[in-house]
Amino acid sequence: MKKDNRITGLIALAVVTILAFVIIFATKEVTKDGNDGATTTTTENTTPAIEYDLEDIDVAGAEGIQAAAKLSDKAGEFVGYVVTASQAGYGGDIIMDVYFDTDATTITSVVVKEHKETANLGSKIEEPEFLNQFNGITAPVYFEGMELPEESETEDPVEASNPTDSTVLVDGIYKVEADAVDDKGYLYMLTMVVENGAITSVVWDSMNQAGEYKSYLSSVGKYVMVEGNPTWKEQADALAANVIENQSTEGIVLNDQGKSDSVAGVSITVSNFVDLVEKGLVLASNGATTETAGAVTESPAATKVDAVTYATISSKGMINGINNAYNFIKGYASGK
Amino acid sequence: MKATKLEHMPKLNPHIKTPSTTSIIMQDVAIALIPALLGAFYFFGIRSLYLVAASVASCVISEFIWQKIVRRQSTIGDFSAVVTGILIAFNLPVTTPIWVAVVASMFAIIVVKQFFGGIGSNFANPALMGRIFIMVMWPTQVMQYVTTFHSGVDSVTSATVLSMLKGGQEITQFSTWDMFIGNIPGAIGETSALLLLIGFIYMCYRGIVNAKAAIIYIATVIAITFVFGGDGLFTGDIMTNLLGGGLILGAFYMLTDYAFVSARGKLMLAVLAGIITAGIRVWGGYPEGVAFGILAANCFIGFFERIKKTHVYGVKDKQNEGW
Repeated sequence: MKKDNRITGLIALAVVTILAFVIIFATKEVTKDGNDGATTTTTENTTPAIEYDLEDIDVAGAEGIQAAAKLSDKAGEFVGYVVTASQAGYGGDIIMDVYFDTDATTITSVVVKEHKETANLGSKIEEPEFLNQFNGITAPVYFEGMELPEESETEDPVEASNPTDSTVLVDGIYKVEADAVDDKGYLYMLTMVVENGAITSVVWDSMNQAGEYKSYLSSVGKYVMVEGNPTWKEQADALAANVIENQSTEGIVLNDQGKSDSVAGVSITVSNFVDLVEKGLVLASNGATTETAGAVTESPAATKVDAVTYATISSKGMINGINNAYNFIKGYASGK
Repeated sequence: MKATKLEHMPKLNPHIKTPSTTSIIMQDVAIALIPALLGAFYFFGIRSLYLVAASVASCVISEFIWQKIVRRQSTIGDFSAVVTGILIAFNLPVTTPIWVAVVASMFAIIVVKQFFGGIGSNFANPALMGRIFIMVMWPTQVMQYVTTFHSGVDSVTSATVLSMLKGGQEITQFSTWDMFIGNIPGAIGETSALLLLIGFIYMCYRGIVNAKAAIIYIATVIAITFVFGGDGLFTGDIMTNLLGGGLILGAFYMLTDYAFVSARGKLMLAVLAGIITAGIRVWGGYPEGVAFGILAANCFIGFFERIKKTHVYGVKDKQNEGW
């Protein structure tokens, strides 16, 4: 290496670098027109073609809700709602318009107005393949692997219609079953009797695939839990007595494992018991007796949708935004 | 006895000297990195310069203070700390907090370099070790890549092209030309193959770099990723693997570290580094494997040094044909 070639090298380096930047600038100019208006933070507006008259709804204090309105067509007929929700995605907030039908439950369409999701990953939330699946389905929504909307957060229809202290229970016999057998092969069921507007009997049981009831098996010693402790049947009766005494499940406080320390002598898992009682109360408040109920007839449950592949966080942001919009408009609609 | 003054005192060795010194070499490396530095400023904004400045300052100050503490002669004048600082910053996304870059610099200089005796004695590339260190300590802070300003909008977080490739996605928003000039998300100094190549050519012109090792490293990575990196054999994306990550930066500026001296050994290590880099890209969990590949090769230096045959000066036979 010769010392005196450094000057030459520096000059050559400078010249070539300048040429390189000329090329880079030229590339920018050449591609500029094609990139104008195409951003990765906002999306093309795909608002439904039908023009609506909007009647604004007050959203003050509603977290994650930027705007909401009642929609009317040009003839003045009420056609639904639109809620503008904002929810955190991966790169930033996702802002979306969620259109609901007049029942404030059926989603007619979802439009992504703005996002900062990763290009070619989370940005797929704005593509028709993802958005079209929401058209015509009922809220709340979820995708596989995602926690179902919590009753307290999403105003699950069962929760929303749960009878309060002022709700009058309709006399009758109400029977509910779990949706599926548990991991031990038992299908849980509950029968509730309402007389004169009050719960007078609650029978909780479960049946295995051989047709044997757990209450029977525990009574004859074929379903043994801890020696010396109350049998399963005795514990089930204790739970039932608690519900009758309180006329609700308020007296049973669940822990993380689905068990409760609220009822003396009860050590079994009681979460499914509480769930069945609450569903029975819904039926009782609606007067849907055994003859008409069959299985649980609560309002439509959460609808399963597909997430964007490899973009779980973005998808979850969308789902949470939609569910939040649903919660808001459901609360508004029921409070009118 | 009368003393006789010799008129011609023999000079001390070495009798054959080259005008190149560590300082001159490191200055040339730093000069070679200027085009890429300008590119970092252009594509990622002024914050990229802040990162470089903070990293360089931290490296120089750390070296100075450490050598003061251990009472060694200061070597900050050899520019090696400056180069380390620049390379550390070049391996970081522009969103990296300044303090993270400072920590990486301190770790690289004090632990990786000075603990082992300074330049030439370090067991691994200090810049890459610093990068790995902060990647393990604060992964979220050093993995937030953003799009370039070139797109014309505020930069937003984006997966790198290698991440997209790893995820099996079709890369439609970045062309091969974008990858070549540097208009892609990535670390501030690795995106522009064009500007890095310009600097590399300067270093070749100045004779301070082993071009063979760099080329062999790149060729090894490309060959393996092409053969095994796609959906089937011989279907790998050559251009994305070549231009999409830190391969160019690693090959031209970090593989040819001066920790090892044997020319043949450098070539062997280049192949080894290429195998590991490609292996991580194809079969590993990370989309990028340059840092790990080069560091793994660094770790083999000691092994190669142990098994190479000692060269006997003045004797020319097969026994001396070692590494």
